[in-house]
Amino acid sequence: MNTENLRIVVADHDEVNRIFFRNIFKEAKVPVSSLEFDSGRSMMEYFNTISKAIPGILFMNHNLPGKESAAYLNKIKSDPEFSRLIVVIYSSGLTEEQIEDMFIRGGNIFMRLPDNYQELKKLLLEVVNSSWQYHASALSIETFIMRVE
Amino acid sequence: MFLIHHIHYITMKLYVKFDINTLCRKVLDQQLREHGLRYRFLSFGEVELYESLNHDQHVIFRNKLADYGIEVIENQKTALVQKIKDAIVQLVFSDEIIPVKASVYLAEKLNHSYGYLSNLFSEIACTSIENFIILQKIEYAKELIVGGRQNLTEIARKLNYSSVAHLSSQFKNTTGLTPSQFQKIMAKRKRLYNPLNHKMQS
Repeated sequence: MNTENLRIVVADHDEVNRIFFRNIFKEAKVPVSSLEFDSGRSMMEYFNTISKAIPGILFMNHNLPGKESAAYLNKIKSDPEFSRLIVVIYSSGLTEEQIEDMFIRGGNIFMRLPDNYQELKKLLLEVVNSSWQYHASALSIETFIMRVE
Repeated sequence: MFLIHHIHYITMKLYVKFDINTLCRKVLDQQLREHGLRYRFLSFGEVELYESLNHDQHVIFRNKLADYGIEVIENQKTALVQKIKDAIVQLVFSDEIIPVKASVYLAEKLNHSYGYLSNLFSEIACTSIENFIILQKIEYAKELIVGGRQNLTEIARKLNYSSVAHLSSQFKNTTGLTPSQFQKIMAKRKRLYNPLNHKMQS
């Protein structure tokens, strides 16, 4: 069983989200460590400096400026080196078509971004706990698809 | 007449077959002796030490074994949880129908009371045994759906659900999607990332 920390990376231009996420991750009952980036570009730069073949979880705001999130999702999911990386896309409102499109491009989890902290905490911890099960038991990321709303 | 002397280097290939069990045992034996430890082998992958290691000895011993690609699983608790997980995977993915409840099966197989296993599991695995069984069943269902050889009725029966509705609701509870939504996404994803595949099929 893999009992190492689950590495979390957050890419979000919104500082408030990043602060909320950081605080909530501290309350996770599974072992995690987290890193934040304020743009998709700085996130990719980070990935390029480390061995990409690390298991972990990436939270990416769907509304990154310049509609970058879809491009980064494609890039990550077409690169086998990222095959152990769970990608979570979150947004306060996406249409059914947009959610489906995100899954088809290879996104693993869609999380609705709620507007109150308690609810955000509940959803975020649910995502982290589920992902940790995949991480600890080395389950298939390829068929890991989940909607948390 | 000149004789040309050729020097022949005779080369030869050896084909070897490994017995991992013997190999690992040998390495472990050697390392344990070198560290002056008294021990006995239990089942495969299990060694009982007659005295406990202090932290530094533990680290040195671990690193030494790591050179041989042998990982010391952190402790007994984690190892037992791994055994529970393995037993659950076996139970869920087995084609045989096991005629007892999962709790009875696990208790008998692992030789501990279910109460003990259940508490230990929740503490270490951060989920309950019941939820882990559901997770594994849904994993199997996904595998069968993607495989495309069985329909949902057959999959529900194979996984011991009373009905398709029962399978679908557990699938939805676990993943937030219905089995058919999942199936549709996986099919479209395959076409996106394997366009060649798609062309050949159409």
